[in-house]
Formats: sequence, C-alpha cells, structure tokens
Amino acid sequence: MREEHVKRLLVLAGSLLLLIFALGPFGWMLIVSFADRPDFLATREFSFSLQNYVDVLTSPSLHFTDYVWNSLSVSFGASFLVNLFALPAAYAISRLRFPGRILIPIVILAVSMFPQISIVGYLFDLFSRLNLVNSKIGLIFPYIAWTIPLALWINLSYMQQIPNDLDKAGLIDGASRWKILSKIIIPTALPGVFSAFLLTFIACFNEFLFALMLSIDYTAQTLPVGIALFEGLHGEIPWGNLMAASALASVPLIVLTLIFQKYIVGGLMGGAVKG
Amino acid sequence: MKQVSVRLDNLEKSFASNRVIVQVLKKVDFEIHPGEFFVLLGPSGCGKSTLLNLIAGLEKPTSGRLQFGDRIVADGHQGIFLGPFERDVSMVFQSYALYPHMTIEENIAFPLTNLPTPLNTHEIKQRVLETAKTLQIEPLLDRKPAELSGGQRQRVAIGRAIIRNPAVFLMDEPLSNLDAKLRIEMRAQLKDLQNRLGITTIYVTHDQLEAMTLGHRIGVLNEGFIQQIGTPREVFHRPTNEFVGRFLGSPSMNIFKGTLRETGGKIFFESNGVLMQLPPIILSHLKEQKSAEFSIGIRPEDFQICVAEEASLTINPRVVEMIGSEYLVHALLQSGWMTARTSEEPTNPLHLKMIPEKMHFFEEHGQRMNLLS
Repeated sequence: MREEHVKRLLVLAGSLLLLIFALGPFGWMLIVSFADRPDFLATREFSFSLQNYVDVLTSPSLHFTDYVWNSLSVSFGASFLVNLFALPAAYAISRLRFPGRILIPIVILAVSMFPQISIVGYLFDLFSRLNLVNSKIGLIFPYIAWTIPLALWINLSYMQQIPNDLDKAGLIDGASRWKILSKIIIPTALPGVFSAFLLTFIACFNEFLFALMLSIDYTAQTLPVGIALFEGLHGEIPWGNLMAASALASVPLIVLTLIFQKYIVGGLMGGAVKG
Repeated sequence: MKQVSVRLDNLEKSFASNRVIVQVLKKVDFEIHPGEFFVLLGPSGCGKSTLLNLIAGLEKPTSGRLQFGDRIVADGHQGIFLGPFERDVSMVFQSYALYPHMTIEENIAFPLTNLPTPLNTHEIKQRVLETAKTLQIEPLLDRKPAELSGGQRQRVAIGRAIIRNPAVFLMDEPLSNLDAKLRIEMRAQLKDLQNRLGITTIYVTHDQLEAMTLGHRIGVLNEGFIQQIGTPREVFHRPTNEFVGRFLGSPSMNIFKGTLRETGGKIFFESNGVLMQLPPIILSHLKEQKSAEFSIGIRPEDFQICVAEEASLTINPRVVEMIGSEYLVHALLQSGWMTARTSEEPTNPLHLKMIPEKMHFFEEHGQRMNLLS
C-alpha cells in the first residue's frame, strides 16, 4: 500500500512539474496581459486591467487586425493548396504503380529536414527578383513547400489503411480514378484529411522565420512577426500589449486543438481509419 | 439477359518485385460456357484471385488473350486492354467492399451513376427498389454498411453487382467471412439467384464443399497451373492427379505410395513397411508396374469393414470420432495418418478392404493411371 502511495505521489509530482514547465510561460503571459503595469513584480503592485486588450484591438498603430487577417489568409490558403496537392499525391503513391513511388515520399521527407535558416537567404534573393517579398503569395509558396511533407505523410498513412478493395469496387462500378478519390476515398479518409489540414494550418499559423525574412510591414507580416516587432510610443517594448496580443493569437489555436484533439492525435499517430 | 462465354487463351501473369519475378499464372487455357456457374478452386496462393482480377480487368495479363463472347477484352500482342466497366463485369469481394460513408441505397445505385448515358433519379430509384426486392433488403436502404450484419452486407454487395445486368458476374470468396450456418444458407441463395438470372458466373473459393455444391463445372488450380476442369462428379470421382484427389473430399483421400512386392508366392503392395493385399482384378492391370513406384488413393468412405482373410489392410485405430451416424477412424501408419469412414463402431484391430472401382492410381509424378476405364 505504501509503495502505491509513493508511486502515486511521484506521478503527481512529475505531472505537476511538467505542467508548470509547459504552461508556466503561458500563465505568465496571461498574468502580464491582464496587469495594469508590466513591471508589477518590481513595484509590487498588481491591479487587474483589460486596457492592454483594448489597446491591441483598437490601436491602429499596432496593426493587430492586419496581422490576424494576414495569418488567417496565408495559413488557410497554404493549408488548402497543400492538401489539394498532397491528397492526390498520397492516393497515387498508395494505390498506383509507377517508377519512384517509394522513393518520392522518402526524398520529400529528407528534404523537409533542411533547416529553414539554410534556405531563407536564397529564398529572399529569389523572391526579391520575383517581386514577391512583402506579399501574401510570397509567404504561401514557401509554406506550401515547407508543409507538404507533413500533409503528404499524414494523408498517406490514412490512405494506406483504406482497403484496396474499395478502389477495385469503384473501378468495377465504372468510376474514374478521380471519382474514386473524391467520392469514395476522401469521404472514407475524412478524419485523416481533416487532421492533415489542421496540422498544416497550425504549422503555418505559428511559423516565424520565413514570415520575418520575407515580409517587411503590416501588409504581409503575420501575427508571430507582428507581435514580436511591437513598438511602444518611445521605441520601448510594450510588454503588456505584446502579451495581450500573444494571448489573443493563441486562443483560437488552443480552442481548435482542444475541440479537434482526437483528429490531431490520430493524425500524428498515423491514422485509425478502418475500411 | 446477356449470356456470354469467357475464353482464356494461354493466359500468363507475372509480378516483378525488387529482387525477383514471380510467375503467378502459367498457361491458363480454357473456356467458360455462356450462363455457366464456374468455380475456380484451389488452396491459398495458387493464383485464383489473380486469375479473377485478370478476368475482371483489374490486372493486365503478361501474355495471352482473354475473350468475352466475340469480343477480345485483353490481348498482350495486339495491345488491347479493356477496363472492368468496358468489359461489362461486376464483382462481389470477400470483404464486400461496400462504400462505408454511403447509405445502402447509394451503394446499390452507385454503378448506375457512372453509365455513359446517365439515368434520371427516378429511374435509378426504381432499379434500386427492384434489386432490393429481389434480395429482400428493402428495409435496409436507409442504413449504412456498419449498421448491417455480415449476411445483409453480402446481399447488398450482390445487389450492387447485379443492378447493372452485367455480362459476367465475378465472386471472390464471398462466403468466407460468414459463420458456418449462414454460409450454408447463402450458398443455396446464391445458387438459386444464378439459376434465375442465368448470368455467366465465375466464383473463386478455397472451400471444396462450396465448389462441389455450387459449380456446374470446377477448375482446380494449384501453383498457377490448371490441374483439372470438369463437373463436380468428374473431378471428385476421376481426379486427374494426386493433388486434385487429395484436395477434393473431406476428410482427404488417403494416398499410399509404394511398389509391388512378391512375398511367399503372392504379390502385395508395399507402402512404408505396410503390406496391402490388392483385389485380383487390380493386380492383373498392374503387371507393368512391377518395379516402378506408384500411389494408390482411396477415400475414407470407400473402405469396407471385412474379415481378416478378405482385408487389404489391417489397422490399429488411434483416434475415433463419432460424427452422427458414422465414425471417422484415424490410424497412424509409418507413412503418416490415414482415415477411414465407417458406419459401424470400429474394432481394434480393424480389417479394411478396398473396393476396386473406388481405387485411384497415380504414377510416380502424380498423374492418374486409368486401370479400370
């Protein structure tokens, strides 16, 4: 009995430590965002205030709504296009026989391991020549390239679990491959399709380096970059506004993740579709 | 009602992997008659499903030709290959392959939504209702496949296959996933359906009882080769080789491999140390086999209990199974297990004689020797 108590205590202590470690920064962010002054630890005076949130949402100089719009449009656009390519690609790799069907996903996976920093300089050079710097399209293209391995592998792992008999039945019933993909396979693999979309959306929404290097101002900058570059009236860092903006930016992602965690975990674990 | 023949001309199929080329089907050459219920029977891995996929148009033959009636549907030399829909075949899969997200009505209607000249919604609904009525599945039309039992799903799969009135109806072990009782029930229904519709049907199974009860003719396949084609009676009573002899019938045919031996002025058949007395009429036909090795095959039900003087073989039963009104007697000989089926309770020792007309003879390489034909 004593051993069980000790075990339970240890598990509890370990879990608490992990939680503090993971949620600590987020908790601190919330506290500072609701504080009247960000230096309340020095002044030892904390009063609750919503002013930071009001400033972020209403101050034109902070461009918060511009950053939100940029993030949402770039993330949705990239995720939609990525999965538009990744779905047929995953279908072809899992169903059709062609040269390179085993090599292609491996190469894509290998290329995805390149550190972003190693190619961002080249990307900036190329995009300047193409006049794509500081544009939403200029962000969507590298995001597509960057998240295609993730989308491909999630969709591939789901599709491989759908029995080939469904395709054969579709062919016997006179459906073309496109019709089989759109009317049979995608509806059957919907949890995988959904989780691939969600995970690519989250990856694009949180991305910082490409957005920092390939955008210049609020017309194209996304939330992570916009928030990081917040400037106060006198050039100081407005911690209160920054924390409020960060909180506002993370809330939608947290809500999405909590609601769709089943699909996200399933997507990360390689699918659980039974045909 | 369309009734077409299916002609397979020297059909071959190989699969190439990274390291080796595997020849799954070798020189398959036969014809299925219009309206026939033809069963492809063989053990797992013999190539029967591959052959069915070739007929369906889901795989391309490596060489050879496939013809439905007068139409060539696949020919390696001429570069012809028609897809499944163009061949006008339909298929029922072992797993049924029902579309899980569609209702039963949508599943059955799906082939009609792919016709070159589309039908209107009303016509499709009518055809679905007629088909559902034939198979007694009208109450299930609004449900999804996951809500159905195995037998119901199977009927839906059949409905989806027959709604188009195909020229050829293919079935890949459709009863394998059903429990024993339901399997017997569905077997009878399938046979009745085929009799009523009269569609040329090709049925794949590894179950020899299904083959015997369903098929007008059976094609026995092993290791990519057709071993024998014939009516159930022909393949059961006159197997062309040892493999067919053993594969059909349950329990399996007993095979005794040995040679003739003269002892004490009498000729016996010696198999792994066991001396068997053969009927005189058989001995007279076996004169040429004096030194050559050959096999005798006899089905468990073709032994007769007799007295010691008349016995071909005397055994010590090791395991006795009572199966209703009969007994299965198993004995362990030096060559392995043998089984006899008796109507009386066996004694120990048990004297058995072999009826000449029921004996099968196979030469050294397993091919049938026709001694009493």
